[in-house]
Amino acid sequence: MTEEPDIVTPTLPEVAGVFTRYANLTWGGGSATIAVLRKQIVDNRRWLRESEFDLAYALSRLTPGTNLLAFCTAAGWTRRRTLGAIVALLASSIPCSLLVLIVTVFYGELHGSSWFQAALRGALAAAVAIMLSTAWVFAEPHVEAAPWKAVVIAPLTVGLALGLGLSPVEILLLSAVIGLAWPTPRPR
Amino acid sequence: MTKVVLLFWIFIKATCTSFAGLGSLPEIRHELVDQQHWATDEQIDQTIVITRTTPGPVGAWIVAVGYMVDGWPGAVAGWLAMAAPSLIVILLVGYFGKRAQHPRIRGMLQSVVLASATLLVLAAIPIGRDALVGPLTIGIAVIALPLLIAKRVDTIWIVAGAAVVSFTGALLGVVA
Repeated sequence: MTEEPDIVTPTLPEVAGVFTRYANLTWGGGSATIAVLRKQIVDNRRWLRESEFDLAYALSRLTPGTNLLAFCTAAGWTRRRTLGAIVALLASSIPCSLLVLIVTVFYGELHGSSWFQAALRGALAAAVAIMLSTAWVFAEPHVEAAPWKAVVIAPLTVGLALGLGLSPVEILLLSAVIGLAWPTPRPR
Repeated sequence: MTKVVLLFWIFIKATCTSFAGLGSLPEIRHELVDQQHWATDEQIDQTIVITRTTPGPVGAWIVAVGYMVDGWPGAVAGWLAMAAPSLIVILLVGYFGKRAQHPRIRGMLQSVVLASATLLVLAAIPIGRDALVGPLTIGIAVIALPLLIAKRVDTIWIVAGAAVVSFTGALLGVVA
């Protein structure tokens, strides 16, 4: 594959290092974590083009299981194929699993600790801000490129979720169908 | 069938048919609490608290469930069931990646990203209701939001700073 000069192909240890550090240390769930990874692998390190990020993110939302792990797998595969996918998947799933195990083993002590609860309250308050900023970071380029599509899709999503009670994957599949019927021209 | 194999089978069925971290919860609760009687509702609730306590994917709650049911082998079964479905995305990226510049595929990706961003805002509402319980936590969120959007401060520092502020506030007796 011929790479653009500004796109960097990481080594496998670099893939392991970045996904270990940034996929396991963010509160607020998968999308918030993906926003942190976006900054690292698109903006700072230039491992993925924006279009490749969008592809990996959108498809990870339509993949069964945990979206964050599917995103990491897709990102690893995009630059380093099968080995990259496996390294990214292991690096993004093992450390957080060990953290969960540690908290599970010491659940009684941590749950009863007032200092731990106070620190956790602060981290969760930050997670709310992280989720809202993440939504904007993801949407901004598309709101600028296709404002009419944003005006249609965002209220429709709210209506389908809150009004009809559709599940996220049902809404995303419906959005995919709308997007197929409403093509976006290639950039000039 | 040994317990851990059956546990893995229950987990993988649930993760392969759900599309979010806690999407597998109803199926796993039904199997482990109602059918097998290997876990209690209280234990399942604890695992949800645990996954909210730890960073990373919410889907890691299944590792805590596995550990509670069958110790370390159960935890490994949970990890495998959490990680394995992600490999399916390779097929999707392989197929759509070759067609990514097609206007209809571009339109599809754009719509899915916009809908995902909107869903993320909706998902923040219940977490906000639980987490923003007083002036200190509301202040943390209000200050963190522009820092994240405008200044693009690294999230790790925002989370660490928020935890320190909240901890210090608790020491000084400030309402959370």
